[in-house]
Amino acid sequence: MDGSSIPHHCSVSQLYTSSTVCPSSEWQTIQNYLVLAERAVPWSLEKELNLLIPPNAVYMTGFNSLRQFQFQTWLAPNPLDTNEFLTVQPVISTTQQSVIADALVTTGALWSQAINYAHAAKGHGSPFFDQQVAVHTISTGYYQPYTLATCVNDTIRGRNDQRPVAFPINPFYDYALQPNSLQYVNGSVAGIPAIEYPSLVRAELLDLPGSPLNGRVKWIELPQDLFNSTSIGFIIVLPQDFTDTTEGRSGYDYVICNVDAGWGSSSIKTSSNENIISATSSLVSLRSYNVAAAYKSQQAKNRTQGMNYYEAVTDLSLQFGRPDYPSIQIEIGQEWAKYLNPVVHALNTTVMDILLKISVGMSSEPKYYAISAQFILSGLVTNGLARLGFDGMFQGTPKTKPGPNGTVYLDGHAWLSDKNDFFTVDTNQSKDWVKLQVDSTIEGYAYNTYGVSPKVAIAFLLMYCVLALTHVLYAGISGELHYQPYLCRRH
Amino acid sequence: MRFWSKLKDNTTTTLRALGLNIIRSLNPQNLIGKKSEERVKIAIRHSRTTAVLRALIHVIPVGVSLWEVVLNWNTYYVGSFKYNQIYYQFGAKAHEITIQASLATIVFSYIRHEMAIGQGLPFGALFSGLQINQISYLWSMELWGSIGSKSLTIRRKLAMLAVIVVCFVLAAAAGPSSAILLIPRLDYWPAGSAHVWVNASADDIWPQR
Repeated sequence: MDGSSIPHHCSVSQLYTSSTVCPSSEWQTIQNYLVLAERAVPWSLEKELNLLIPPNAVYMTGFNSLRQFQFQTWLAPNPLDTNEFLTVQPVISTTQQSVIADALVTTGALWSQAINYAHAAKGHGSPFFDQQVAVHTISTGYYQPYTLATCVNDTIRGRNDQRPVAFPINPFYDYALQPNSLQYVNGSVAGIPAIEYPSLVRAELLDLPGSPLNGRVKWIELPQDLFNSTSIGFIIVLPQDFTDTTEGRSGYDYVICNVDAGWGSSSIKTSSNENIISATSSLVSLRSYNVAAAYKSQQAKNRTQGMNYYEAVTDLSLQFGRPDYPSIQIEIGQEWAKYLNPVVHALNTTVMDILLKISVGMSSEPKYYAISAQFILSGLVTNGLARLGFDGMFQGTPKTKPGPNGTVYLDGHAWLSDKNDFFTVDTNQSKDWVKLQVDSTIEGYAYNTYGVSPKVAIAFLLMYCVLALTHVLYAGISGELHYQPYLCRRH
Repeated sequence: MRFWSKLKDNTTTTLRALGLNIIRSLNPQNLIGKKSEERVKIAIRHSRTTAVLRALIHVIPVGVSLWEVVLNWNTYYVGSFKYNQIYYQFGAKAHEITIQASLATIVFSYIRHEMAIGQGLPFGALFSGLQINQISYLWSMELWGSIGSKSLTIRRKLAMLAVIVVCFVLAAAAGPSSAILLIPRLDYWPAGSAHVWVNASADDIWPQR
């Protein structure tokens, strides 16, 4: 992830359309989410009921897939006082890996063609094309990015400000492992625990390249011995010049962020109904006992805190609980990260600046920049990671069977054989390729023994059959019968 | 003549076993009235043919039960639509009625055996077969009064209790069981799996640094 494999044209983006192969491709979708999040319910309801309901997801495209992009804010525990929650709400985002989503959708489309006239196993029942919906799932060997962005705003007191910058902590990391590095930074307006980065003082931020009228950014690769569980740091000097001399509010404001990204084991699925394929979606693979325990532990803690239950971790499509999930941390390099924030020539500014100004709107409060930066940063990093391997494509030669008049059909019964060998590839060529298993299910009416109730019903009916046949055998062997008398009318 | 007599006798037995004795009564010769005399009744027959014919009442309910079990055991994919629910419900109810008639026959068969050649039964047990569709009989005074009777040995009491409890429980469970197996269930049906490949390595798609 040093950026060397990224096309050079990815350092520039168009305003309305963009190439699909760049890490920042479709950044406009993040813009759509921010716009929707601003006003998802009528203003009157928002005021009256104190509601703010952002959309659950927006959709990104791949080459032939539609992927669900999810954001969520979570209440974060204060690692210095576990009885409290932080005043900031970090943002987590995830989306499906583009190349895998494309492969899954392609598989689903081929399945629809192959299975059209195939029957259920052993020929029992209707053909499979007679179904309500078909679902295709990859549940093993699949990972997708989960990105946590924690941002706070702070101040620069002019060119003599030699205070080192301090990055906010990842609140979901087990800081019992590193208690000494955490502290409340003296004189910081952030008000949350942070870790100082001695290599960069605040005055140096004033010399970042770019116009002071726009946000000026800097990506920082943070040392892992000090910043465990941090993929990269990010700073944006805000396009403001406060002359207010109130303590802590003089000079420039900046937003400083901790980005933690990782590959999380997940399952991905897509569905099709009458050959219309829907967007892919994903769920966290909660097979690890530790993840499940952390999830339950967080729920129990939230209940004891008197929180509303919906604030607890209940969404299984998003999880973040270091070091358990996501289990594979990603170290992001500056050279790769710069492609997440390309220049938009039409507006003579960068993507980050455009998104910040849209989401913050007319507000000049620095804290809103920090809140928005969390969404934007988490979204850009997740989007970039999800596009890795973009030049990979679905591979495999399907099994076919001859049809009338020299035509060739996909052999649907071979797909139903459960031997997983419907597609074949060259063994030597594919030795480094990613291999996945796609499981297909259809929804329809069937007679089967899945579940408890059919088994119980079968048990009762078989008991009855045994009793009745015993009676027949007894009657046949003994030959005894007790004759029921006629009912007659006497005169 | 003997053949026709035997055929007539077996037909009578079959109709009575299936509860269709009214068909026989349509023949005026079979009615007992002013101008005909009541025939001598046979209390006990010792004939395997007659006994098996009397057991024909089990054919339909056992046959349908086995068909339902085999259908579900072997699995059968119906498709995206099913018939109106009412057809399945009425079918299950009809099956339940036949099972209850069959179980009542078993209970009455036991009662008649005990009354005719056994030790006899308390009065409260005589009507158990008539209440086969009422599970409350299991905790009624009639049953427990019979169990508490001093005229039966422990072994006979246990045998009577076992037959009645098993038959009544099966009679109560037959309807829901038949409905569960007869109504196709909307569920996800496995439809194959396949290995697919992407021409990129794991490090290309999921690099760690």
